[in-house]
Amino acid sequence: MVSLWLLMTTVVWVHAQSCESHLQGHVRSASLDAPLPFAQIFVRSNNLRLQTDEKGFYSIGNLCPDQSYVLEINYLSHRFQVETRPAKADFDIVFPADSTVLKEVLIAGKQVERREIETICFVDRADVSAKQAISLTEMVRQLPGVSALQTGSNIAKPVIQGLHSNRIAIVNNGVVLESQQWGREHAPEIDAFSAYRVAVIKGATGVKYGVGAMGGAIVLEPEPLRPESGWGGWVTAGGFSNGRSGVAAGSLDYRSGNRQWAARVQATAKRGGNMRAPNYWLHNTGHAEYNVAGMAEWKPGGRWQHELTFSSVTQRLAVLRASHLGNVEQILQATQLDTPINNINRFTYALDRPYQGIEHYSGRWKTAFRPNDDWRLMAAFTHQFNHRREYDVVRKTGAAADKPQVSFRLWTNTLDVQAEHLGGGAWRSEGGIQLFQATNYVNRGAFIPDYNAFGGSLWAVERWHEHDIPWEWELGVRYDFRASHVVTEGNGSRNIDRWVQFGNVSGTTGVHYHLNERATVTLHSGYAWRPPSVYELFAKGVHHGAGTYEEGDSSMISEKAWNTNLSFQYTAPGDNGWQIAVSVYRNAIRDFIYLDPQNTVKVTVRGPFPAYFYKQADAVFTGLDAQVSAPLWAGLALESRLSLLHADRIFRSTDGRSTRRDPLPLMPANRVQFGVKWQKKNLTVRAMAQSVARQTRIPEAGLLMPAPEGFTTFSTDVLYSFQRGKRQWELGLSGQNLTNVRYREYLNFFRFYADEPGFNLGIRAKCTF
Amino acid sequence: MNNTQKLSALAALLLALTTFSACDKGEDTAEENITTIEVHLTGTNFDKKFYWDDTDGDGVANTIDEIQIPANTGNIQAHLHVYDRSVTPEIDITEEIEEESVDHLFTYAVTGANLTIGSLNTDSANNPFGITSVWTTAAAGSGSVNIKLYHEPTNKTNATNPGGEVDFDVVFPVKIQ
Repeated sequence: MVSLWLLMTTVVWVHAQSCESHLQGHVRSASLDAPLPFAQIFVRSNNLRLQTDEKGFYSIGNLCPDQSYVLEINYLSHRFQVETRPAKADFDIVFPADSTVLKEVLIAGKQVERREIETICFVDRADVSAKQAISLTEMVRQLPGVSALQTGSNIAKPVIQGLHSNRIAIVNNGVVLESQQWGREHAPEIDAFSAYRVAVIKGATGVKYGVGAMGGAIVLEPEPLRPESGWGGWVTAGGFSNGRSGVAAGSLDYRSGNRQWAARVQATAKRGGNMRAPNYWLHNTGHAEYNVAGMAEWKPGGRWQHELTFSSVTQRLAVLRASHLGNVEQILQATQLDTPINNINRFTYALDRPYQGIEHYSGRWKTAFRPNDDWRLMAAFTHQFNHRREYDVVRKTGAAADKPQVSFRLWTNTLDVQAEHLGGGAWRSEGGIQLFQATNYVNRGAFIPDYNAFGGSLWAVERWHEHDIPWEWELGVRYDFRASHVVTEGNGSRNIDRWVQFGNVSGTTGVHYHLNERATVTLHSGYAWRPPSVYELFAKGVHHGAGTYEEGDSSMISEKAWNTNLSFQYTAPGDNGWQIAVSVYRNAIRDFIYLDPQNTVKVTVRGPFPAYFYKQADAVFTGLDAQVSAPLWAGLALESRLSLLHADRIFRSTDGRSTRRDPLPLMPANRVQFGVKWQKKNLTVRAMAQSVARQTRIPEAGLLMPAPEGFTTFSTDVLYSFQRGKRQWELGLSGQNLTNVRYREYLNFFRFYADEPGFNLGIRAKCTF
Repeated sequence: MNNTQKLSALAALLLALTTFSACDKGEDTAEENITTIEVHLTGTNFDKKFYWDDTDGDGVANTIDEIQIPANTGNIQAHLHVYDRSVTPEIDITEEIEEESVDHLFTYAVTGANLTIGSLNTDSANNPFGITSVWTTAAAGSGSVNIKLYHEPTNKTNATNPGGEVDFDVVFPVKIQ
């Protein structure tokens, strides 16, 4: 979005004298009561340009003590000036923008000033607060090019431009989530309430987020800690009619009197029962989730900053009873039925077998140091522990009755050291080293083995942006090395004891061209890679839940993605102008790893299962994402989002001369959303329709069950906010599947067994104090 | 606390975090692995056991016995036994199944051979259960029998699709001689 950049100009008249004074503090938004990250500050008299960091902090050195300086601050399309003298105490700049204007820009926030060279979209602030009570995936799937891979209504993981799981990174407060993301029925372990800003970066982002981020990244940032002394926070509660679920969350911040210490505790509780499809209850689809997080910051003096964070996510997710079947014959029988097999048609809060029990803990220590105004140094150590237990339907009197049938435990330790140099005029350089260690125990030797992985990475990013010059570019390079020791114990016939190693270079380059203040064209190209996961190399056995027999191939090599993205953004000035964002992309992946149906069945004790082997072939993803907001009159605007994708495997003949294309399975169908948004003062009302086409591009080999018909659903959101004394209130109402239409999603694995949930009304209230 | 103390507290915390990693491998999981299905046939002057056996526990059979029965014989009593032999000592799952007879159903489907299987025993609610049955043979010949065990079936009287989930679904070759 074009005009969404920040140009800050600050004018300083320098006198010839001893100028060693200093000015620092936060740039804050008056309307949002939050720091503004990546706002630009320009001190024209010194021809000095700088930017606030992700916490809205700035620091200017070499100022003359008696001199008055004009700082010009640019944030998104807003600009303002402030005059001040150097001071010992923090000088906080409150951005006095008209609240609705700034809020709107932040909400629409297609592009915040740091101006990532990649294609980046932010989840609308209203969508963040409306969907927090559901899940992270529900939040991001509103964006063009993002969809969800589901296993029922409880378990959903984000898909970016057709790629998911190990091919995208989920980054929460600077920590890349390390969990069992290889499984398609393994949802990300993230407390959606911990997110304040949610961005989706599309395309190869391996340089920034490491091995695996070849399809993109979802980047969550917490609300910055309260900058003023004293107490503050928020509480929220809500409920949904479908599933009769309730959610409550709260957060409390404290900053010490000298403002050097600050801390936060935050907690979330969610509980829901069986969901209802238009014609029947979906038995065993409830959930329970309890999350706790804490954060502490210590800033002794102006140059050091220490931060300690902790978070814990605990979930118990019931899995649709109808989905738990013995073999493929039974699955095929189930697909013929109009109502789900084994269903109990009533409401209950009980969470019975089958279910997933998940715990995720993460702890992080980070220290940042600014030896001077040109350099920023940072070191961080992160520890994560992920424990996933899966409980199948078992005999009540057997040895397994009170135990999980599978247990995966993953411990990871990451050490990051990085440096950033800002003093190079238009140049800005960053570089770092990362060390990584992971231990994974699987208490089910027969399917995938245990492993211990070690790795290291080296990376550097160079950016160039000269004020007033329409060009801007970025270049990044990274080298990663990973080695894994893979072992199975017991189970004599196929014991494994092997080392596997992978190393590769990733790269990224991008260029922005600003046509004018409102329009930008961006071309971004990235090269990223991913080593095959232990699962893809060594899996052997029946994948229950998927109803398939899967076999890995230990000779597989790394996937390499070459991703190119061309996008155009236009934002008219004013609160309610035209906004257009269109991007076309092509992601070519060499040696793409996929499950290939073998046209044979493996006969096991549970009967026949279709066999799938992991194979590699080249794949090409091409698509278009678009988002348009067109003002009509009197606060009314038309909104539309479009996602198109074409994904193929490419087989080359042995002489390399001819190629054959075959559509990849499980790719999101083309989708369009359109609706109206009406905004007046503190009231926002939005009504949207979403139409999903039938996926006609399916593999030649066919599917177990034909892709479901296309469908259209309607949804609405109402948001009302007001101030009472010092408290800010927010009331929300949402309705999903308003017409209670029956439909099934191609990317929901449970489409074999049951319809999607029907009408769902949600209400919520939030109080910020 | 002075700064040094604060830093040592941080360091201690880090150490504690890393020590968590040095955890033990054991976790209390238990799978219901069915590795062995025994068909025990008894008749006049006839007492034999036949096995479907997955000795390495990967779900795929290593040996499947051919069920050999005399021709033109009636009233052969069949009793099924189910074991998990992937663990030591082996687990006899038969007892659990008999205890929860209401939640289980054995079904039999014969193809080719001149064999009739009937008189399935019933559970405590008087619905079919089928852990025992009576087999009758006619003229010599060969074919197969498909035996399935359903767990938590929703309709026990529908032998072809009783619902629930399949615990095992195995095929024994049959020779009537």
